[in-house]
Amino acid sequence: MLQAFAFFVHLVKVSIKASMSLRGAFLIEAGLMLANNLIFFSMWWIFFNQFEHVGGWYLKDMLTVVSVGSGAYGLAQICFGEVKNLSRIIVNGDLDPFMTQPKNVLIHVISSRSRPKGWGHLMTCATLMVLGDLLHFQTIVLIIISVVCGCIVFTATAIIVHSLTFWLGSIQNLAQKYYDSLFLFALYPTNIYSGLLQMMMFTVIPAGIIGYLPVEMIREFTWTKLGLLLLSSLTFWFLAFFTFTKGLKRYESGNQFGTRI
Amino acid sequence: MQKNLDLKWKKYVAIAQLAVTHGLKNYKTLIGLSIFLVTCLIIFAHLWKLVAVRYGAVEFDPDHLLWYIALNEWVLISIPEIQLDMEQDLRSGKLAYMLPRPISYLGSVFAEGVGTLVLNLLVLGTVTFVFTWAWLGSHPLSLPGFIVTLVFGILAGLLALIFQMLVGLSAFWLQDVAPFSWVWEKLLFMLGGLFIPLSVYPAWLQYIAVWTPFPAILGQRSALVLHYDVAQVVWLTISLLTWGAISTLALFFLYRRALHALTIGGG
Repeated sequence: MLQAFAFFVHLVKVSIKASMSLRGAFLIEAGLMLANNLIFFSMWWIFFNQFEHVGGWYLKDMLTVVSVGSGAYGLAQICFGEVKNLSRIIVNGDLDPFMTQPKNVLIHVISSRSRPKGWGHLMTCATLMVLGDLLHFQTIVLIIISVVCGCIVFTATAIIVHSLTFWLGSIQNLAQKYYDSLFLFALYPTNIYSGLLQMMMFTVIPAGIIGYLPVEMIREFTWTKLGLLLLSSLTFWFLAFFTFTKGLKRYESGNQFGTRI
Repeated sequence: MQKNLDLKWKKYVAIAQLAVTHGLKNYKTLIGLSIFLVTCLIIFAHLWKLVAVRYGAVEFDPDHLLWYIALNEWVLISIPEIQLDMEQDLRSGKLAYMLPRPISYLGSVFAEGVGTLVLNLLVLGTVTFVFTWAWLGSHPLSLPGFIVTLVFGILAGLLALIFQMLVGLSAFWLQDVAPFSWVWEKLLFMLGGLFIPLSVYPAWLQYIAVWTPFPAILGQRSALVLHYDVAQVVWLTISLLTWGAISTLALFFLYRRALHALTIGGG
């Protein structure tokens, strides 16, 4: 386990260095992603100026959910940037080079690339924390924990959906749309739903774990909420590994030759 | 001469037809887009229901608001991401094979985009209409309103397509169009009034929005559902045609500059 973690850390370092190799492009992409997110948040500022609160959430709560959601998504893009191509990699038989190496295949694949726009999302998280005055020590700690847990849930959900390729064949576009839907749900108030839809927000589309739980935890901290957040994140992570491992047993590649530089 | 003109247009029609066929073959993409569209509508349906309940009978009927958002999402999600295709053409070097062909590169990209757009508008329009009608149990559109909505949806989609091509041209200078694409999209959401009608915005922001093409693509068009008015129809027509002309001229101008930059750079 420790060896795998050490490998993950080294792999992410190399991936980040590779993504930063073109400095100009890196800065433009990160900077414009920050601008993109702030423009999006301004719509909420307009909304809450008119309607004051939604389901008991005020502008500060919306700011928290966008901050945590963006931070979690950004961290996932930085540390696990290749997860969005997992379906294509499986279909094209590109898992072969990874399987021949004595390292965890899943970690090796999903962390083999880091995306510069993830830094833009992280900067959004920091900017919104400053704008929303979320700078108390306890709040900062809780937001960091929420961002890490959110990153785990985002990545785990993507792994599970993309791993369905082992059974269903090429579903790259479907899987990507599902992932985009999760990001969309996570950035909107989750407390507006009820009944079956609310249950789905914590299971099939775990936007509630990424957005709702952290906000409620920061509004009024309890150890139960923190425990729920950590437990649900770890559950999704183990489910992701289980799904991928099961699927890998069905994996076959053709006679395609490929190189990995 | 007439025969030459017919042949010329037939090339672009053939490309559009190919794009439709390709879209139908990749039906999983259409399914994914439909799921995404329904997801968005479910979120907004819950959001506006809650807000309307909180504030009683607001200026806007929540049912009409959902139709407003549905018509926005219909066009927004139907717009094909041709700026990414243009970027890929340049990066992969495929552009070098396309330029010498006896067909305009811009024309072929536009024709392909139109084919994909028309297919998306048809499929997603059906999904939008059926879902929203089933969710609400009613619709506010009269027959003239329905026809006007369809026509303006297509025109708005075409205008958005031209702007996507303008974003795609930035690949000639920047290699990666994604960052500009994101900013364009978010400005479209905000200044186009994606999920809040523009009339709710502060006055200064409404003034800024009026001077951009975004309301014509989204909010101004869908607001006909909230308040159908012949004067608004005329104003929207003028707006779409004016921005169409401006964007087309900008497209041709920038394309010439892009080819010049490509030639100087050695291709």
